[in-house]
Amino acid sequence: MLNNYLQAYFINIVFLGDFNPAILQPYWLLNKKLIREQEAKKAKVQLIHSELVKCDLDWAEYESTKDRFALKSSQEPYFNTVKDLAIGIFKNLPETPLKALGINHIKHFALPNKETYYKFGDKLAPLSNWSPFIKNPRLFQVEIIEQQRMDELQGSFRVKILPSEIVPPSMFGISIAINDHFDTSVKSPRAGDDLVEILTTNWQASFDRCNDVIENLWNNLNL
Amino acid sequence: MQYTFDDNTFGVEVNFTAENVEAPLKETFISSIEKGIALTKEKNLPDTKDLIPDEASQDTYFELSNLLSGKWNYAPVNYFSKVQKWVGNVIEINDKSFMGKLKDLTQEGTDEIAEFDLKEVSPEDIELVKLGAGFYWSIGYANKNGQVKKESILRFQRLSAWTVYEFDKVSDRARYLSENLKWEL
Repeated sequence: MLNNYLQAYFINIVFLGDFNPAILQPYWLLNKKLIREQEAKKAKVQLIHSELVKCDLDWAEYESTKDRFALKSSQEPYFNTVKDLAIGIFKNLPETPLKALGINHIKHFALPNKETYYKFGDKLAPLSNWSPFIKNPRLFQVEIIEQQRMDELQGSFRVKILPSEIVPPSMFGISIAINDHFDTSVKSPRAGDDLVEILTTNWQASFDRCNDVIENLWNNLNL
Repeated sequence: MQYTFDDNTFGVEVNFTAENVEAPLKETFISSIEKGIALTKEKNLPDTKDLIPDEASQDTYFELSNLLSGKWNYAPVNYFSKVQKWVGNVIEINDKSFMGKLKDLTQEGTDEIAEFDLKEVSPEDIELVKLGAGFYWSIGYANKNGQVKKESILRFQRLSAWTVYEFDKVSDRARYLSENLKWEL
């Protein structure tokens, strides 16, 4: 199992739509009872502007421009809380038009040795195809897209594999970034509700699929 | 607005360059900085840097200046590994503890029952401890600035109340299912 080599897991929930960044202040979140009082007090507000807000709650960070809202966390125990916060924010802003949702999983692994690290890249994109006209070829990154989702919702599913920037090179680190992307299926004023509902109902499924894809890929590579 | 993967992972990937940022997003950043500077001059406010809370100002400026100069470096150093996660509901509350029914989110299996000391609950979450309340429990290794420490985290759900729209939608769905239920005779 590749998951045996998992070192770190990050999540990033992204909504595209039309936002009012200035409203998204920690005390507004507190007022809606979405975070604790101490968290609102201790939040590191990095920037509040009519067109951009950026804030660190310690267990999650969020930033919003007028057309993009992102809430991310590097602390796995809080992933469900991050999801609840995203849902809570947009349930409290029902008039906000939402156009797309991305549940992004970024997993960092430390492969067991140099041989496995090399074979991993070689099996993903056979390096013999590049010899001898490229000297000592190596795979840098690879990206695969499922253009029409298997679950028949509108959107796509993308997998990107590249060297990890978190796991040191001495530990043969790779990262797998998965973009589970949903578009609104209905063009209506309440279409945003659908995306919030998709986040609610597809959250665990997104984790399960992410895990399945990674493990099936690892098994298929047969390293 | 065109939707791209790079846009979606923005801020998480390291060595992100401004060239990868979609034009509208980049323009938004640049335009917000320019508007901030213009407002500062117009209103005769202190330097823009002074408008940002002290603690974070240097980091923010570092990131924004890097973005504008073509570099965006973000490498979070605090993360958890080997995390075991459960989601639970309160099924019994006692004087000093509560009982929770837990579902293992890491490895599928049968539901488990566990007793938690109320001292483990954050004081601000105590009011949320009610029968049926949902909570998350995780144990794992926290890596904070290179120091690894085993941690247990208990956190109660903070969910928004149902909206009228949601209530109506569920009612409609229930009515539809009820009307279309076919009984085998």
